[in-house]
Formats: sequence, C-alpha cells, structure tokens
Amino acid sequence: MMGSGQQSRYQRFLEAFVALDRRWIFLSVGLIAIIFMNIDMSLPITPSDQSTEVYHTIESLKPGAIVHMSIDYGPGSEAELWPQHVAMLRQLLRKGAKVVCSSLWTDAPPMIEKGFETVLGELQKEGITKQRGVDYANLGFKAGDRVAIASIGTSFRQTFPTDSMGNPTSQLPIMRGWDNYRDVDLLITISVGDPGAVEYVQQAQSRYRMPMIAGVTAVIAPQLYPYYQSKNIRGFLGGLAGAAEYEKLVGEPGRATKGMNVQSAVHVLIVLMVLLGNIAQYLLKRIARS
Amino acid sequence: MRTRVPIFITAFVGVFMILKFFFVTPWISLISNELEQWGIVTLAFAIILGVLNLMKINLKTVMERKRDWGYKLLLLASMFFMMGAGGLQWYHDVMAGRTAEACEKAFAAASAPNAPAAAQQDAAALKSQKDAARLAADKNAFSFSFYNIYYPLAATIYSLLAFYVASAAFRAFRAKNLHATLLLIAAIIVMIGRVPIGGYIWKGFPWLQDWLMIWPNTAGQRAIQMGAAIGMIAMGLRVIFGIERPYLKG
Repeated sequence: MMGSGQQSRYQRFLEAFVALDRRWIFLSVGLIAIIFMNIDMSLPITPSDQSTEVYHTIESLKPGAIVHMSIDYGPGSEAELWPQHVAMLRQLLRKGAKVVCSSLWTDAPPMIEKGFETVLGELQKEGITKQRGVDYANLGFKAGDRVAIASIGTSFRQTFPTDSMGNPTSQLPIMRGWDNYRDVDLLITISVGDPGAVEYVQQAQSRYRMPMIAGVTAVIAPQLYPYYQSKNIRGFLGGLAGAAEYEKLVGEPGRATKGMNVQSAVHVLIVLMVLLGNIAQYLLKRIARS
Repeated sequence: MRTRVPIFITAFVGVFMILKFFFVTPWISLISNELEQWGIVTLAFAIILGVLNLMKINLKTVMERKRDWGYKLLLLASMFFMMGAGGLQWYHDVMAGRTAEACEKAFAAASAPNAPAAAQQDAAALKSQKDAARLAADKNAFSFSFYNIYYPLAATIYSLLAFYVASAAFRAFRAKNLHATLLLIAAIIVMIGRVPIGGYIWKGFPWLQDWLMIWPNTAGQRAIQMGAAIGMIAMGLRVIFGIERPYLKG
C-alpha cells in the first residue's frame, strides 16, 4: 500500500503525463525520425494486392502503348508521392510506353519536369535515350478541375493546344493517331486531393472504361477501396508504404524503402504514447474512485 | 428577364452535360464539347478573380497599416515576383522551343547529301544557340524561386503535420466509451499494420489492417459516397429545374 505522500507524487506524475506538453511529443518524434533515418533496419516489406496490381498493369503494357499520367501534386506532398511518381515513370519508359503528362494542380508542372529529368538521367546511364515530343510529353497545367477531366477525355488536342514548351500539340509525333481516352491504353493519376483519383474515376474512367491505376497519399487511399473493389481502379499505391511496396516489386529499393524505417519507428512511438496515455488515464480514474 | 436568362443558361448547360454522358450523338457531342471549353475558360477566369480578390483584401490591410500588414506586403510582393518570373520562364521556354525547331531543320539540311558547307556551319552555330536557349530556360528566376524557396517551404509545412498528428493522436485516442475504444483499437491496428514493422512484431497485424481497410472501410466509404452521389443528383436536378438558384444570390 502506498503512503499518501507517495500516492500524491504518483498521481501528480500520472496527471502530468496525461496532460503532457506537446513540445515533448514534437521532440520525441523529431529525435526518432533523425535516429532512424540513419539506421538501416532492412524491415521485410510485403507488397499489398493493390500495389501488385499496379505493377502487373504497367508490366503488361506493350511497347508504344499510350499512357496518360496526370500529376496532381505539389512539392508539399513530395515526401509521399515523389517515390511513386519516379518508380512508375521509370518502369513505363523502360517498357517503351509513350508517356503524356499533364496536371490539374497549379504547382505540379515543375514536378512533371523534375520527374522526367530524374528518370531520363538514370535511363541515359543505362544507354536508353528518350526524345521529348516523341517518347514523352509534358502538356502542362489546365484549369477547370472536373470540367477539364471531361474535356481531356473528349480531346487532348483541344484541351491542350500546346505543350508546356509552347509547341502545338497536334504537331508532336507522340500525339499522332490518337486524341481521347478511347485511344489511351492506361490512365495513371498521382494525386494528393481534389481534383485527383476519385474525380478521374467519376469523370473519365467510368465513361471511357480505360484501365486506370493511381498513386495517392495515405489519407486519400481509404477513399479508393470502393473503386478498387468495383474494378474502376485496377490498383493503387497508398502513401509512402505503397511506394515502398512498389520499389520492392520493381526490385529497386529507393527513398520510400528507406523511409519505411522512419515511418515504422514513428508509428510505434505514437502507438506507445497512445497506449501509455490510456493506461495513465485508467490509473488516475482508479485512484479517484478509491 | 434577369432571373429567367441565367436559369435558362443553367438548364441548357446542365441538360447537355447529362446527355453527353449517356448518348454518343454527333450533335450532342459537338454542343457539349463546346460548352466544356467554355467551362474551362470560365474556370480559368476564376483564378484571375482569386488574384484580384487577394490583391483587394491585402492591399487594403497594407494601405491602412492594419495588424500583420508586413506579412501581407510580403505576400503581394512574392505573388507579383512569381507572376513576373513565370512570364519570363514562358518566354524562355517558347524561345528555346523555336531555336530547337530551327536547329533540327538546319541539321536536316546539313545532313542531306551534297549539303553546302554553309549549311553545316549554320547547323553548328544553331547548336550552340540551342544549348544557350535551353540553359536560359532551365536556369531562370522562376525555376530558382520554385525549387529553392517554394519547394522547401511547402515540404516543410506538410512535414509539420507529422508532429501535429502525433500530438493530436496522443490526446484524442482515449478509451472514454465504447465508440472511442473501437476507434482507438482500429487506429492502432492500421498504424502498426500499415508499416513493415507491424508484420515483424506479429504476422497478423498486416492481415488485420488489410481486413479493416477492405471490408469495414470500403462499406463505410461506399455508403458515404453513394449518399453524397444521390444528394448531388438531387441538387443537380434542383439547379437545372431552377428550384435552387445559388448563382443568383450576391
């Protein structure tokens, strides 16, 4: 049995923990992130069905297949979506697909350019060269959200009269012989919100029935499960974990795989804090009752 | 007249947008495609309207030296700087594109059999011009500001979420009653099961996480989405028939 002085100290400690200053939580998260960024834990990554479907959908493309990639995220979501973007683009260009990128987000066009720059640089080292306007194109930003998606479905050339460099879209070799979603072999959207994957399903995929896959942030992923179950979306990557699974599937561990160490450690920290907070609250209640 | 014309326009546009989805008829497609382009142009003007509104609100604060006027001034200055830099970037991109096109034509002329020496010299001169134009397009104020100021700032703001989420989770996930306890259990399973360490701790975590996402989550999401869709259909019909007229207000 605890003495009254001891009990009050014990009680004070529990009360202090339940009402812990958030700066301590910030500090713990920061420290854990820094430490685990520099530790290689090599945790086993098991690809989910959704990620595996994304991989197989891209892998089944034939050389010369037309792929529309809508890049709908800005630098804010780079941590989660950049690894997905680069991994998918790399696989597409290696497969010889014709990749046409566009965006419905104002701050996304530089991400498109950065993606091409990064992947083309890597492919060049492997001896694979790709030509702008022939193997890939950046059609830039289009305002209009859902209306723009509906318009893209009807005509790429009408919606994007020029590419991001100011060249007439109709004169680009990559755009010859096709103009709408009926001719597209695969639609990919890498998105952070609205307009994004859900809007592409509603405005384009449900109408034109072309195969579609998506890469989204972890908070958007739960919204895509109904579309995955109804086969509107063949597969999707959810957040950094989805990107890590994809890196495992393509056999090229990168930033996402490394990020899993940090994410695992921070998730464990949060769960421990939550559990300890609940235990402390329970003990406080018991003391109050007694 | 002031009421009837907007109602007629709304009904006309709405009906054609619906018809386009269900019928593949040339004349319906023609009209609805045109309306879509009008829609895009109108929505593009919304960006201009947004810029003007931002200017109006912030300029007033700056002129009247109200609270935080310095920040507002910085916001306006940044906006104008990025607009100017963006315009310059577009100019450089267009010039680089034109030079590249001219260069390709010159190369084609130079590589033709019996091409004159002058054509080969032209091609060599254009090659250096092309590289210079591309360099100017790649390294300008817009790219510099985007990649060195906006990029890290946006990434930092988003990254701060992780800290706030951790703090909020610690305070919010408390087993106060049955519903809160269920939420707490689901949150712990998803948080641990979604990351590789979950499978390392216990092989059942990833399976449980997957089950939660595929079944209860999908059912809930579908219910919300179908409810919202039915609500949207009802709202759309009310707007088309002129019962609901939000666009006439203000």
